[in-house]
Amino acid sequence: MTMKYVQGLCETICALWPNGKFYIGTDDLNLRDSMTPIHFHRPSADTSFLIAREFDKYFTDTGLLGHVIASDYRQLFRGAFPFLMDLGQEIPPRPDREKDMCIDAWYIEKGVFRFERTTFVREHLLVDSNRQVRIYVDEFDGTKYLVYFNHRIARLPSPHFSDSRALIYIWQILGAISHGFRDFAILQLSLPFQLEIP
Amino acid sequence: MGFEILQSYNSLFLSNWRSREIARRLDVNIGSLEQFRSIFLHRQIFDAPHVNEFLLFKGRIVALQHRLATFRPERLADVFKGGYAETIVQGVVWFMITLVLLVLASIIATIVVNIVVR
Repeated sequence: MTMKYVQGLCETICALWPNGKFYIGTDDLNLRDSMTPIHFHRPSADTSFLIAREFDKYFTDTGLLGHVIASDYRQLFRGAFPFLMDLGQEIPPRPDREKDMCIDAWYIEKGVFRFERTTFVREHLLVDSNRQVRIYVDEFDGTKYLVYFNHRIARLPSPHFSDSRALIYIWQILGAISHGFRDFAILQLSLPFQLEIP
Repeated sequence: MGFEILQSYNSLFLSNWRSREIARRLDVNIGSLEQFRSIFLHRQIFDAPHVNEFLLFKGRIVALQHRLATFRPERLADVFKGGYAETIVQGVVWFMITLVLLVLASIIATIVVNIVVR
């Protein structure tokens, strides 16, 4: 997409939403190709308000946002999408009172808010109109194994082999060969409660 | 996603036994969290929850904290239940209300005693 095309696009948008005029300052752009009058592209017209008012015969009404000289794509679309201007602004820092606010369940239920379970993930930690904090609870038993996301789960053939590191190394070598030496760990299922994993 | 849900369970329900009771009421399986204690538990027990560790649910937790911090009584019962982050102004108001009630009670008591004695 060339700058000329962008400028034509912007001028089209400007015609649709005439909140101001703008142009892109570039070296390789011939300003005479622009659809806007040439004196719009003279930056000296904007240096003094008096001069601009006296000599600028067109666009005396600057609109809501005034004349815009775009140096950024967000400014470029400011007239059409004013809400995009919020993207460039810095987020105000959170007050310490909010930052240090405890989110312990008992502390929250000590006040007016109550916890309510939901089966929709999209509602997790949202507060509804009845001042109930939705908590996603699933019946799926496999959620607790999510911590083993980067592991290869394997069971040793016998519990008394669990202390031998050589077997672990063999597993790691086999895993590295089969999976192309990627970064992963092998979970050693040797404890009694781990052997109960189906 | 699932990992962050477990992290949020950790922040909400693993701090004290009363929170665990709430988790039990909601059928949240706390045992599966405690199995991975070293991974999941707070790094510092007395520190504030690490909101920045969340990626997907950070906005919701921040919104919840904002809601808690800026809570004002909406119904009559909320006044007596109290808010989460009480400002000094509310304390001053309650102190003044208590003083006024004490003065009124003393005036009424004086009148009643005078009537009874007379």
